[in-house]
Amino acid sequence: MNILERKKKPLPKLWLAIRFPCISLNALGLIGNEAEPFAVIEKHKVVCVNDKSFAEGARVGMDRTTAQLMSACECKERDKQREADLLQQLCACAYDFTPYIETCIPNQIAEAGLLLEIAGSLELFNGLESITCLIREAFDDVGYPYELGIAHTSKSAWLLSFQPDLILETQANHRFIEQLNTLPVQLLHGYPKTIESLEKTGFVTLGDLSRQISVQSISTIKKRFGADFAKELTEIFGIDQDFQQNSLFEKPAEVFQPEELFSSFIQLEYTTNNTEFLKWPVEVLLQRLTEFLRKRQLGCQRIEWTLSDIHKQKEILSVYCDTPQSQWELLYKLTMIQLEGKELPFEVDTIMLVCPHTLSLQVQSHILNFSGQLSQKNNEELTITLAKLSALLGERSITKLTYRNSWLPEEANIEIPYHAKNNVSIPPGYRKFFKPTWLLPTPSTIEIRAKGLYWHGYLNLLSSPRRIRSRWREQPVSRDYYLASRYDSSRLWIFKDNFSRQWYVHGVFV
Amino acid sequence: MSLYYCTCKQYTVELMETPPIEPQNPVSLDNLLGRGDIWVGQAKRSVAKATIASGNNELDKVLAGGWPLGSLLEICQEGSLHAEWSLLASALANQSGSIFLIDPPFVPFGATLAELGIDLNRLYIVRTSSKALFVSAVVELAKSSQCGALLAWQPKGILLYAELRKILLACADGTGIYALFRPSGARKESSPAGLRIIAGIEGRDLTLTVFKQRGMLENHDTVVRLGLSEKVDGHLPLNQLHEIQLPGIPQIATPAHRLTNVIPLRRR
Repeated sequence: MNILERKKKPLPKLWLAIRFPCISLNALGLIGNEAEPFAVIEKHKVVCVNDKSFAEGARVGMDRTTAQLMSACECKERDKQREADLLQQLCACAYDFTPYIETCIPNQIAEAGLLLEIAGSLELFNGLESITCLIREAFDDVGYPYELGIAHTSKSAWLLSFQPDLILETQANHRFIEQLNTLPVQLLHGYPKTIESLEKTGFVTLGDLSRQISVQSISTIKKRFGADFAKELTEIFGIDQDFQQNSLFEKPAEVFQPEELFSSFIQLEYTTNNTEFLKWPVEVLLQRLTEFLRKRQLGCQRIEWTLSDIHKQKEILSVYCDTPQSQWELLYKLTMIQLEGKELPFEVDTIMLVCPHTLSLQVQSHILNFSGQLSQKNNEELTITLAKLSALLGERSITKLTYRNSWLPEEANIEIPYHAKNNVSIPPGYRKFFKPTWLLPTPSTIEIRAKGLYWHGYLNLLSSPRRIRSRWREQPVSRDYYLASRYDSSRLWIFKDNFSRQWYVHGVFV
Repeated sequence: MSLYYCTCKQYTVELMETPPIEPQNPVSLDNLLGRGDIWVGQAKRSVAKATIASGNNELDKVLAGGWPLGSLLEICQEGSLHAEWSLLASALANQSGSIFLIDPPFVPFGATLAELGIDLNRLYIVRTSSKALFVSAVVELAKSSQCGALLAWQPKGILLYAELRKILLACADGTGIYALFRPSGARKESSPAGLRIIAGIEGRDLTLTVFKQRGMLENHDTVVRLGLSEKVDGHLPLNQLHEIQLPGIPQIATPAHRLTNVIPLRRR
């Protein structure tokens, strides 16, 4: 009967926001309370400063030079990918308390946070006060500064994290709304233009907007400030807009899927430095991995072997595949190629296999292959050939080409490890450009002699210049590229640096 | 005769390395003589090896169909010429499988190669630190069925005949393009490669001289001229001549100076 009652009356949602105001610093390995001043920069503007830098006068929004003049701070470039990775790790930490976890990454500010739906966890953790206390303890251990906010909607919880008082004694919506009403409209970071017009028309706090909605209706806000802003307000206050039973049309809370890591080890009966004796444990561990992958419909491209001896000395081997594997055979061959080409530095006691990253086999697209398993077999053969070469020459000896979006040829055309993902789409600007077949890794200086330019022989220019300008924000680069010929009829790609007036050879045509 | 003996011996060693199950091709004199890489003292005999079009009809005619597949091709380049892509790009674009560059002199410029039709996803660059590793890498790759083309540049040190022979045997089992680029001085050295060419440049032409071709003695020292691409031919628009100031070279007349020589037309 109790279960039926619960099904009829779903628990009202309760959100807890955990905001990390210094996540851009944290992602770069800083806490915020360092003795040295630091600032995080994005597009030459300061987006986050540590305590020391703040105390010396650096502020968010300043340009890099002003911040450095104020606090002599060390500037670090913002890394959004690392911030996203850190947020995923923090999600795993919050997963101890609820499976309903969303991430909040506003575009306008360099802050981010987690939104936890905790209504279903209150009973398990003995109430709101107790769960909040436990969450605080967990995130205190993590060590990054954070702020909490609790409210009836996720957006209002996020906004309430900007004010210090936390409501723990009641879960009534009106108490949250009362607190929301005291917040300034500037906290609606996603609507800078609307905030400007709100301030001009006398709306200072969210309470002013709330009163306007209760006196008239949300439609007046919609008319004056747009549908998007009106929708944002309904989501903040939890207003039923058009429907009698809004909860029926409510977006279900997102369920967090923690990343699963495969790790397994075998302790050998006797220590050995003979690769032959490692064949069996390697096979067993790989079969365990296959079982793990098969059950979850996953594949993996990289595995890591850790060999250790009784004194805890370690040797790590990484094995890569071009295509995701869910079977053990190819991984076994690749592992043995590496082991056979290696002299073990100690008597191995324990062998451990870790698969740090997996990917779903279902979401991959496959090319239709009417010739049976030929393509897959070819891929396997290529992978084995590359692994053999890698074992013979060293991993760094095999590379492939990739493109980066840059106008400077030496920055655009680079070599990366063969197993890394490469970008082969040529930037549009390069398609029209006349370019050589070979590029010198670094431009070679041309000697200026009385008779003309000299680089292993005198050079004659054969074409008009093509100008490349780049890095106008940092150290500007301006080069005029020419086709030149030498006494032996070689065709070279040379350029004149328009700032240093120096000539360089940068490529070879034939 | 001594060369023939040496060949048989090496081939036997190759076979011994394979597992001794039931030999599908038992070693017999007929089988050995059937190999395309064994000289049997005849000036001309049918070249059964597959070829791939080079992209130039005249060259294809001289090469009896195009660049040979499954055979070692040696290109000796004069001076500091780098005609690798001019010669092989067309064939590489049409050849399936991966392309391996072993010890290339510089970094290939991907944008140009993509324009020439070469898929950068199939291109791998391999760098070796010694001659022994170079030979091992070439042999390993030539034996792989996934190697569609192998372009190798001679490492420091002289490649011995035995090392070249080892490479040749590995290439003979494959179906790819296997090219070894060497300096022009290597022409005087003996090499078992099936096709040996000297590449040079004369004015606006790339010249290829075939000085060894298996089974085609009449092609000895045949010269093929390939026109350079218009892009590298070079042209300097007259209106921009004055803008380029080369140090040490007297400045070319400025537009103002040139205009003084022009007599304006007047209506009568």
